[in-house]
Amino acid sequence: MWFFTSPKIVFGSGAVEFLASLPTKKAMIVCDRFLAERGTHQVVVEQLTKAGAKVEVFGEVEPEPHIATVEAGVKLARAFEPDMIVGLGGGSAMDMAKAVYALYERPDLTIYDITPIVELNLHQKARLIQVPTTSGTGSETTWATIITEGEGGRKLELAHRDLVADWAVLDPMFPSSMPPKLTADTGADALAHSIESISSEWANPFSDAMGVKAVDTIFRYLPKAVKGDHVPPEVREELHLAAAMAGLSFGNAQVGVGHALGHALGSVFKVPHGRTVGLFLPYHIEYNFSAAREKLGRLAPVLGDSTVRNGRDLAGKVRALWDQIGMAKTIPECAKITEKEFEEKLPLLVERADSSTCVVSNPRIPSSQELERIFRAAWSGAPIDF
Amino acid sequence: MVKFPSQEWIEQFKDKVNQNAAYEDAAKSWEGDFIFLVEPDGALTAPVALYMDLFHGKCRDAKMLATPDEKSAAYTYQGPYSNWKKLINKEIDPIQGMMTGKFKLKGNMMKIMRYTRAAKELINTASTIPTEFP
Repeated sequence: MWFFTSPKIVFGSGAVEFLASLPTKKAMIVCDRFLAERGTHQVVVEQLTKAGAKVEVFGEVEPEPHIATVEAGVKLARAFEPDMIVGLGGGSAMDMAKAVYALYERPDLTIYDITPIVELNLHQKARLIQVPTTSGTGSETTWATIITEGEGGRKLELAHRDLVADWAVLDPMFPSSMPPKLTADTGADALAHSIESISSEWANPFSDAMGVKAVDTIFRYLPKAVKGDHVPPEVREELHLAAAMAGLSFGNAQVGVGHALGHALGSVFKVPHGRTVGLFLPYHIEYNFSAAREKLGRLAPVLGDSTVRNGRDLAGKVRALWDQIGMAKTIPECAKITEKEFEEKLPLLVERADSSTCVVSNPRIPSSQELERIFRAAWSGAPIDF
Repeated sequence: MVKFPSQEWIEQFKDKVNQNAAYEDAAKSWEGDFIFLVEPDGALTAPVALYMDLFHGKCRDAKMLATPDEKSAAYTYQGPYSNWKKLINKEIDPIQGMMTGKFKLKGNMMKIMRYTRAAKELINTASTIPTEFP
């Protein structure tokens, strides 16, 4: 017995206009600081105003958002009492919207209560709408929210089925101006979601369908989106939908050790999420291939290969894609740290990866020693064979 | 073959846990005791509680309680007998089991969510016991 959970999805050019048709009295937008400063949120404000809503904007979301920011957002929500909360931005803003939404709906809870094994019974006071402005996080379609405990702190991997949005609004207008580096980082995140979920012990036919389609699209279109001087709108749209599909894939099957390693590196050295999980994706494949050969073998046709013979082959295809789009393949390229700093923090990196919930459905259960070996391999860029 | 649930089974479980290096690694900083509550259904007509004191990767104590309320513990993991059978036979994932309502967990969630690897190793260990289900 298992579930496939998805928000209702409105997509394509002009999708944001759908917001004007949703009856609402008070809408609270949770968005990234830079989006608020650039005024990007005004497009959403305009549609909500057409719906007759009074709109409040919480534009304080920082990258890798902290618990303190959640608390500030919840305080505003409790004072404003919205019947709709809109997450607008990348993963940080949408994750923040989920956390604020949960604690607004359930003032009796703390953030640590957001686990998939408790009853939350949300969606009583407000609807949750997610509007992604980047193409990668998949947060618009998932039940997960990543909140950092504090400066340099652990990433809390929170999740609950009730955090899945009522609607995901996928309008390619929003990611159309993403710079190449952000396009690469977010696209790498989406590919990691797809491949890790396909290899997961919790993978299922529904999640696989979404994951395989996302992998196909990302391999086809991500280089065009990163390298082109002018990115055709259809390329942006394909990648925007692929990111949401990748979200549906991992949201219903989980990610794996690649994300556990990436979260650890990102939290300790403050590296963007997409860059860290992209770095570890080839290692996730090499480490897990022996235990997930059949599942990962399904990717052979979409990658233009008759078979995927081993983990090194498949990881090699990902590394070749990373070369095309300029993604880091080693920790020094990714984190700009010295070997001394790396060695000093290695026990903490291992401890954080070890305690990550991302390993719960990984095809192999990694030991602390194996996690350390993968970190060391990622430092030098060497493939792994254990 | 050892009958589940029974004093003999929980003693074997303790021995197997204490021989499992992978569990010891995953739970090296874990401190907390458990009650595994087997709720009656099918062949089991009364609830049975199995107690385990888990500390730094080892099991310090394990026993079948005379009654479910004989002892309290930091965590209680409970579900019907038929689901325990599936869990020990690895037909149910321990975490998915909770997420689908087949098992319930009571205790500090924040703490235990950092030890999901240990939980999986624990169930993997249980599945190595040659178990007889009445």
